Parts: sequence; structure tokens; C-alpha cells
Amino acid sequence: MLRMAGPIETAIRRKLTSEFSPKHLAIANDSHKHAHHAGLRGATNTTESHFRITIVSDKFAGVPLPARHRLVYKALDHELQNEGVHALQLKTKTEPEWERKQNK
Amino acid sequence: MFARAFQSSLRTPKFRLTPLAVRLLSQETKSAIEQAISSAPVVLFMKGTPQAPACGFSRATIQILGQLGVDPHKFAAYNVLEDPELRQGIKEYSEWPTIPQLYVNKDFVGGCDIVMAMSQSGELSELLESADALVPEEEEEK
Repeated sequence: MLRMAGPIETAIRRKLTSEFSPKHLAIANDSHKHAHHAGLRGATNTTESHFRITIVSDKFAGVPLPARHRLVYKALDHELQNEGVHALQLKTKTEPEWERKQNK
Repeated sequence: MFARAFQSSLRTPKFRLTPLAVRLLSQETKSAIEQAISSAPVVLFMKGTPQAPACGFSRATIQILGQLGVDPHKFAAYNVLEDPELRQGIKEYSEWPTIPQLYVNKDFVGGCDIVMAMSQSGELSELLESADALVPEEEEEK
């Protein structure tokens, strides 16, 4: 079945694409797994709150892991602050790192 | 068993803070956070408690710390769901938008994904060992 990306996911894809020019970008919506958890009590957005994102970009070369995640958080600041995006599960790899993992 | 010791180690100090009308990191919140970060070599800001994590990411992080052998006496957990001021404040303080957040020796380490990646690469073990935060091996054997 074809899954339709929601408006927030679409915005995330657009922003990450322009910010990181990724060689590979995968976004999975895990919101249904968290719709009832305590941190979301009273939240209005429960359908686009949790995303699992893999970004492969040369922009991560030489950047330590926490700083890579901060770059992504910064690019998606609006979604995290104002759109009710609650958690991002991030894999941030450079192209060589990604290829090594694929070949394993 | 380690798991039980880990659970009994739970400390959830209550923050007594005046709610603020503005969403700025007040000096009061900042010093309360700094106090919390200094309260143990390993400090986790999480949702729920180590016995009853209220979020899968907090649960996974606690499990990793337990598996690596973090000494319960050198560990403190703070439940951000008990205090909205802390929940917002720690995000601004760390400049990190999500919970859980791990601090080792007052340094921000990262969230769940980073803890997981660092535990797989062995980096976290090294970091905790250099912070002298692991259960001594002799004691584990007894």
C-alpha cells in the first residue's frame, strides 16, 4: 500500500534536502508507536510526531556525532518548536561511512 | 543483582521552582539544572523513572547504562515529566530539543541515538570508565 507523506514529513524532506544535499535520505513515520505515551499527553499532533531519519551527506564529514544531530535539529527547529514534532531518531552518516555499512 | 541495585539508586529530587510567565531560561532554572548535572558523575534526564520509563527512548538509554555497568552510586536520574520547568529548561540549557539527555562529568553526551551508537562503538564504555563511573569488577564477581 502506498503511504502518503503528511505535510510535516513533506516539509522535513524539503528542508533536509536543501540543507544537506543528501546522497540518501529516508524518513519513516513512527508516530503511531508513540501516540499514547506519557510525553504526548495533551498533544494535538499525534500523527506526525515521531520520525526515524537516515541522512547520508558529505556535510557530516569531520563533524562529531552530537554536532551532526545538532545540525539536523537546527534545520528542523521550526518543526520541533512549533509543529509538535516530538522526537527524531537520527542516523547521520557520511558517504564513506554509509558505504562501509552497506558492504558489511 | 545489578538491576535491583540500579533501581534502588533512583534519586528524583524535586525541583522547587517558581513558574515563569516567559519562556526564557531563568537564572533559577539554570542553577537548578547545573546543580542536577553536578549531582553525580552520570546524570540522565529522562521521561519517567529508571523502574518505569515513560518513553521507549528513555527506556533504551537506561538499559544501555545498566548493561555497561554504571555504578548506581554514581548515577542520578531526573524525571522531566514531573517538572515542566525542567523539561523545557534542560532543552534550552543543552541546546538539544529532545529527552533523554545524558551528561557525564557535567559534559553533555547526547540523546538515545548517540548513546546507542557510542555503546556499540565502545566509546561510551571508555567514557564511563575514564569518569570512574562503572561498578568495580571485583565487586561484581562477589
